[in-house]
Formats: sequence, C-alpha cells, structure tokens
Amino acid sequence: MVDVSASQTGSNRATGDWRRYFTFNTDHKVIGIQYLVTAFTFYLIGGLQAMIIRAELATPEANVVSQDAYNGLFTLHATIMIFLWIIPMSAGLGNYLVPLMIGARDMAFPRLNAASFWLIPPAGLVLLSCYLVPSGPPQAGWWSYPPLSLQAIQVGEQTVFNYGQSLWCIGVGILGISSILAAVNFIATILAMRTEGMTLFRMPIFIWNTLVTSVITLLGVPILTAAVVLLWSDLALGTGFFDPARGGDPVVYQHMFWFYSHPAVYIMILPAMGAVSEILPTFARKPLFGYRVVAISTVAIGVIGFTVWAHHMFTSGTPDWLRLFFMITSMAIAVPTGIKVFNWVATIWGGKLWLTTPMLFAMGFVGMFVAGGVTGVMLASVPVDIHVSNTYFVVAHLHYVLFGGSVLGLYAAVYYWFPKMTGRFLNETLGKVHFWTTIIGLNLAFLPMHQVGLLGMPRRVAEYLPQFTFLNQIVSLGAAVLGISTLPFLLNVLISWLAGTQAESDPWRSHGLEWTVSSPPPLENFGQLPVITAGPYEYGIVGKGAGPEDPSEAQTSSTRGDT
Amino acid sequence: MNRFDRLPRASTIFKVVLLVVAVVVITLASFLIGGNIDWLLPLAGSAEAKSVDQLFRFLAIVGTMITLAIVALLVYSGFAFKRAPDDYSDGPPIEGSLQLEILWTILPIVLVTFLGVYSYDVYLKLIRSNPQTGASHHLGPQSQLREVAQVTDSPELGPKREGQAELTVAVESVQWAWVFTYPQSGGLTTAELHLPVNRPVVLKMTAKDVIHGFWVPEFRLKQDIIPGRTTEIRLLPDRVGEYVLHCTQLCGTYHGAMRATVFVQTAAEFEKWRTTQVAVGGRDAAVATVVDPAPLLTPLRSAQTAQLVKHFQPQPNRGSE
Ligand code: HEM
Ligand SMILES: [Cu+2]
Ligand SMILES: [Cu+2]
Repeated sequence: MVDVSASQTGSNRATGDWRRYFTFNTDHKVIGIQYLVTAFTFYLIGGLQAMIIRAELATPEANVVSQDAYNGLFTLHATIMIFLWIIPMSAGLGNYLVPLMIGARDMAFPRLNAASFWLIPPAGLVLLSCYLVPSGPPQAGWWSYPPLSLQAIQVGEQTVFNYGQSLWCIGVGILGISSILAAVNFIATILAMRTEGMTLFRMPIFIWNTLVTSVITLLGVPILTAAVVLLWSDLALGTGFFDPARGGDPVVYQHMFWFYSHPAVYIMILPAMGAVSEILPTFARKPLFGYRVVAISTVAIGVIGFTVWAHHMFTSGTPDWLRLFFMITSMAIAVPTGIKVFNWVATIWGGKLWLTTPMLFAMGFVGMFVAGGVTGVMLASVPVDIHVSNTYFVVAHLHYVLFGGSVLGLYAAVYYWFPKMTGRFLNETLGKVHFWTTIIGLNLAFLPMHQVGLLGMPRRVAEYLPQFTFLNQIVSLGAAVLGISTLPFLLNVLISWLAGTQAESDPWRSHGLEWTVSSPPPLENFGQLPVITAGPYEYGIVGKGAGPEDPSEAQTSSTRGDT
Repeated sequence: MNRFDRLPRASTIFKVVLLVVAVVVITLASFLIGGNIDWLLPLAGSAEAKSVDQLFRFLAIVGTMITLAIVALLVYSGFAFKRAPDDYSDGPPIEGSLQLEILWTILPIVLVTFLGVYSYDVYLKLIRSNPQTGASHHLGPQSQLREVAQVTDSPELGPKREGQAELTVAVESVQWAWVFTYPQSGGLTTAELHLPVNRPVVLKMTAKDVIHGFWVPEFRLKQDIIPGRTTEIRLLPDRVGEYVLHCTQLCGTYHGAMRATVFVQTAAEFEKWRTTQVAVGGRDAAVATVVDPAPLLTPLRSAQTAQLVKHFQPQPNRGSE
C-alpha cells in the first residue's frame, strides 16, 4: 500500500534512554508511553478499590469497612476508572499511533501534547490526596449529585467542610482541561497532517474513531467543566446554583452532568472499537468488511450520542414527554452500534484466523460488548428502566460495556502494538492465561449482577438484604478471579519488555502504515514521508502481499505469528 | 458421474446439523429465560407491574437470542476458520456487500422501532394514572396531564372500583428514614407503609435534605424525590403481602440501610390497623411539620434531620395480624 524506501526502515533508531519518560519530552511516542503507563498505574489503584468493595459485599452486613469509607471507595473507583484509566489509556494509544498511522512525524502541537499529559499525574494526585484531608474522600458517587455533594461531612461529633468533594471538583476540572487540549491536538493532527494520498476514506478506522472521540470531547467536556465549577462554587463559596436550600435546582446539574457523561461513554468505547477494527482484519487475513459503513456508523454514533443524555434521568425530575423523547433517541443509537458488530463478525467470517492473544481479546470484545449493548437497549425502554434504574442491573450493563468492551479492546491493543512500541513480543502463553482468566472472571462477576438487580438490590449500598447473599458471593468470587487475572499480564509486560522475543517491523504481516517503520519506530517516524495509494485493509489481494505464494511477498521481510 | 456426487458431503451435513442444533439451543435458552422471568423479577404486586413484565419478558427473549447468536458465531469462527499451522496465506479479499449492509441496517431499525412503539404503549398505560410532570412548573396545575391524573380507574389497571376514593399518603424521606403520614386519618404518622389492596393510592413524596429514591421492586415503580418539590406516584397495589421499600438514590452514609416495610392488606385489616394506630395516638405533635406534604422551602441540613429522625423509630406492632 505504500512506497517504502529501504533507507527509512530501521535507520535512525530512537535512543533507548529510559529517563526521557520522566521528562517534558515532546515526542508523541514518548508521550504515548507515558500516558499508557500512568493510566495503567491508576488502573491498579482503581482495581484494588474494587477488590475492597467486593470484599465488603461478600456478606450482607457492612463489616469490612465503614459505610462512609465504602461510599468513598465506589466514588473514587468510578472516577479513577473513567477519568484516569480508560480515557487516558485511549489517549495514550492515540498519541502513539495517530502520527504513525497517518504518515506524520509528530502530533500537530508537540508541546501542547506534553502539557496535556503532564496535567494528568498532578490531577490524579489531587484526587487521591482526599485520603489525607479531615473529611476523607468524596462520598457522593462519581455523579456527585447535589445536594448530597454539597453537604458537610460528619466526622465523629464534628461537622467539617467537604474538602474531599472540593478536591474531586479540582481533580476532575484539571482532567477535563487535559482532555480538551488532547482533543484539539488530535483533531488538528488528523485533519491537517495526513501524508500525501491519505484521503479521509483511506484513514484506518482507528483514526476515524479517534477523530470522532476528539470532537465529542471538545463539545462535551466544557459542559462538564462548567458543572463542576458551579458545583464547587456552591460548595465552597456558598452560591446556590444547584442547592435547593438556596433556591437552586439540582436537576439542572443532572442535565449538565449527563450532557457530557453520556457522550463520555462513547469517548470510552470508540477508541477500543477502533483498535478492534484494526486487529480483526489483520488476524482474519481479510479486509475490514464494509469499511465505509463502519466509518460512517462511527460518525453517526458520535452525533446521536449527543441526543440521549436524559436516559440517565428517567426516574428523576423529568416530565413524560422528555422521557419518551429520550427513549426513542436512545434506541436509535443501537442501530449504528449493531451495524458495527455485524461488520466485525463478517470480517472474521471465512478468514484464516491467527488466534493470537490480541485476536482473542478482540473477539472477546465483540461478544461481551454485544451483551452490554443488548442490556443498554433494555435500559432505554422507559418502563423497564423505571424498574432497574439505580440497581445492580445497571452496574452489570455498564461493566459489560466498560470491562467487556473498553478494557478487553484496550488489552487487545496493547498485545497487538506492544511489538511496535518496544520491539519485543509479549509472551503468548501468559497472554492466553490472561485472556481466559479474564473472560471467566468477567462473566462470573457481572452476569449475576443482572439478576440481583432485577430482584431488588439497589446500587451504591454497603449492606443488602440477606436473600441476595448467594448471588453476591458469586460476584465477589468472580471479582477475585479478575483481580488475579491481572497478574499474568503485569508479569508478561515486565518480562517481555526486558527480554521478550525480538519483533520485526511488521511481525503480524499487517498492512497498516505504522508497520512500515522499524519497531520501535525511529525518531520522527518516517525518513521520507510515504505516499498512500490504497486503503489500509487490502488483505488477500495477489500482488499486494497475499501470502507466501504471492510473488510480491518476495521482497517482504520474514514473518512470524503464533496460533 | 456416479450417484454419490449428488449426495451432500459429510462436512456439509455436519454444518447443517450444527446450524440446526445451534438455532434450537439458542431459541430454547431464550424462551427458557422468557418463560421463567420469576427467577429474575419478584412477583408483581401492583396493577402497573403486569404490562412492564410482559415488555421485560419480550426484551429478555430477544436480547438473549441476539447475544447468544453473536457469541455462537464467534466461537464457531474460532474453530472453523482457524488457519492451518503453517498456512500464512490470506483469506478471500471480500470488502463488503451492499445487500448485507442494507439487511443489517433495516433489521435493527425494524426491531428498535417495534420496541419503541411497544415501550411507548406500556409507558402510556403507566402514566394514564401516573403522569410525571417532572415538577415542570411551566405546565401548571391545570395542564391536561393533571386532568388525566385523576383517572386512576383505567380499564387496563384491573376491575373498576366503584366510588372508592383514593388513599393519599404523604411520604417523607430524610437521611436515613422514611416517614408516612395519612392526612385522611387525622395525620396519623408511621414508620411503615400500610396500603389497602385494590384501592388507588396517591403518594405525595417530599425529601427533607438530599435526593432520595422511592422503589418497591414488586410495584415496578421508581421515582426520585427531589428536595424542594412534591413528587407524586399513583399506583394500585393488587396483591396482599409484605414488601421492602428501598431508597434508590445515593443519600449519604446509611443509604444502604434506608429501607421501610410495606404492607399491602385487605381493606378490613387495613381499617383495623388504622383505627388502632389512631387510638394509640399516632400523631406526634413534635413532628407536625411532617403532616404537611408541601415541600419545605429550605431543606434541612444533615444534623437537623438526624434530630428529626429520632422521633420515628419503627413501631413494634407490625400491622394487624
Ligand atoms: C447500545 C447502546 C447503549 C444504550 C442504549 C445504553 C443505555 C444506557 C442507559 C439507558 C443507562 C442508564 C440506566 C440508568 O441509570 O437507569 C446506561 C448506563 C450506563 N451506560 Fe449505557 N448504553 C449503551 C452503551 C454504553 C456504552 C458503549 C458504554 C460505555 C462504554 C456505556 C456505559 C454506561 C455507563 C458507565 C452507565 C452508568 C452510568 C451510571 O449510572 O453511573 N453504555 N446506559
Ligand atoms: Cu447514557
Ligand atoms: Cu438513599
């Protein structure tokens, strides 16, 4: 697909000094790794909190931690998982891959890029520092609905100012700014820095998804930031925007919050969908089925995604017409989502599958995401949602899409691009152990949640009725399996980064542009900018590297792949 | 050409059998779930619940089918299309198919349109007796929705109940307790909710401090209660029993323990309970504010509500049995 001169591969290897990862480096590849490692560190913290949460829920009574500590745990767990793990992890992948995939030497604004990364560690520390202040962590959930989030905290006999909530507002505010800066950068890079011949409809689907994600971020985050600023002002300055005790309206906050936070679920899933759309064709050895349709569906999801936010408020202070309107739009969004799923299955169908670890994770993504999408449509139906809203059924839904979807997709991406980033393979055996323990743990943990929610267990509770004990114990067991499943991955990354099998520039025989440069890519990526003459998924075409029998294979470097 | 050429090959037969088995298993599994939704949902306790359950059953069947079908396709692909160990060749260069794209665009559109219309219909039944204005003040008290609100006796909600007045209960939520007041019984105030069976009920709900949520799973109704407004829920309990009312909106430290018991009783038992309660002086002068279902202009701070809750320890005598 590209004219590659021999001189530009393998030459000019980046310096391997590890210290550059701790500096204000402006190389998009360094920043990408900084994002990935930072996000994964926060994932471990959020995961540890999940383990404590499930330990608490192994019995009906509140006995492992106090109720207040429990409320703090799920508030921070959700905040960390969303704002410090999935979103920065996706941004990290984008940072590493976007310039390589569109044929650019770096992002459009390298310094802005470094700045948006360097906002994240301090924001994370601000959030976590809530454990050090007298009021303890915020306890109002990641929605931080007023007036609860505006209440002072009772510590023993004393009532103290809600420092924890203040820190939450500041932390989320900084993270919002970081997201906006990154989004501006992605949009500028993708629109203005594509190499010659890289037309919009020759862009890899991952690029389409990053573009749409960035536009959503740019339109949504300012509203969230405004909501958080007003909330903080109610809290700390005594204004009354949302506080009914001062004449404010808490439902206005809910609208502002969800106007961002519904689209945010697409911010969290689209990059993973993009990664999976790259991985499936490579390992099925077939072109992505319906490339244009998949690209257009992505845009459609982005657009419709802004019209469905109030489905999170079906039981709040909302009138009937509003509930019905948002029910229709929420159901409509299932259509482009469904189309994508069908196209992924059709891509796999009839291929020659290499069942590598990234391929397993990508296929797992498709299956688990469907389960979460289906319950999403059930939630969109107002009469059903009125019963299950704010119960464990919703918790089950969101974990199928966020864990079964986003997290599996991100893992697939790590296994797939790790050879590009480090020049070494991740170990396949450990990878497969990781995959199967994850799939088992995930279904054990999240499937029974549907039932326990439908039967009557609300979410965000430290104690529950004794008749739900058995189901909750299965869930906690599954959570433990999930916790353990992370270990083979950690071990794998540590060992493989230092001593894994060496990888060629194109170890998966992928046709993506990022695979034409050495692994890891040289500084500035491309010696001479490539010229694009075709789309990114031209598998199986004789004359374009269709396999050993294809004469064009002769020039291509040797191949490798496990099954 | 011998006659065996016309017989299907063994692998084709195997595929057909596999397909038939998969379709049968997936269909059976889906209908098994649809046919046993009492595994998933508590028994319905209100007239409103029945149509919700029908809708849920339908969604559960279709949802299970779609999920299992996609997972089955993936698992089958994993076995059927796995490459041979040393095969590095590519698959067929199929880039798409317009017919298929049209098919799987139309299919979900038809499905969600049907679901939308069905859900809309069920919701109209719910709000026929139970409209939510979302306390949108611009609709005003005289709006049409308010008129409909009086028609609790819609035919969809069971047999007609001649001349029976609705029972009004004021539901107060405070951190972390429920307080029920019966204005038609001289302001009788209790910590349990007693409702007569088959009589329309209007719950006028207010929150004193933060947002709480009213949910009795058996009633299939849930409504957030927002401080500063009165939120109404209307329902027709139609099964005698003892249920649990849960708070469903995070409301602070003891949110998880903010429950109350709900008794749905026969008219005679309800009457007996009511008279004994009034006789023992259920009205507590100290909480006269609670009797008024109008929202407080100034919601309380947590310390104040803690003070208030002390008056509402659950009563030892449970109903009339
Ligand atoms: C088929 C498309 C989807 C539909 C129709 C859908 C619908 C819904 C609805 C109606 C709710 C609110 C339930 C309630 O609180 O009562 C909800 C919650 C949620 N959904 Fe989805 N959803 C879909 C896909 C996704 C995706 C792709 C993600 C993320 C990657 C996601 C993440 C979430 C989260 C995080 C929540 C819970 C928010 C919270 O209450 O804390 N959803 N979804
Ligand atoms: Cu949403
Ligand atoms: Cu509560």
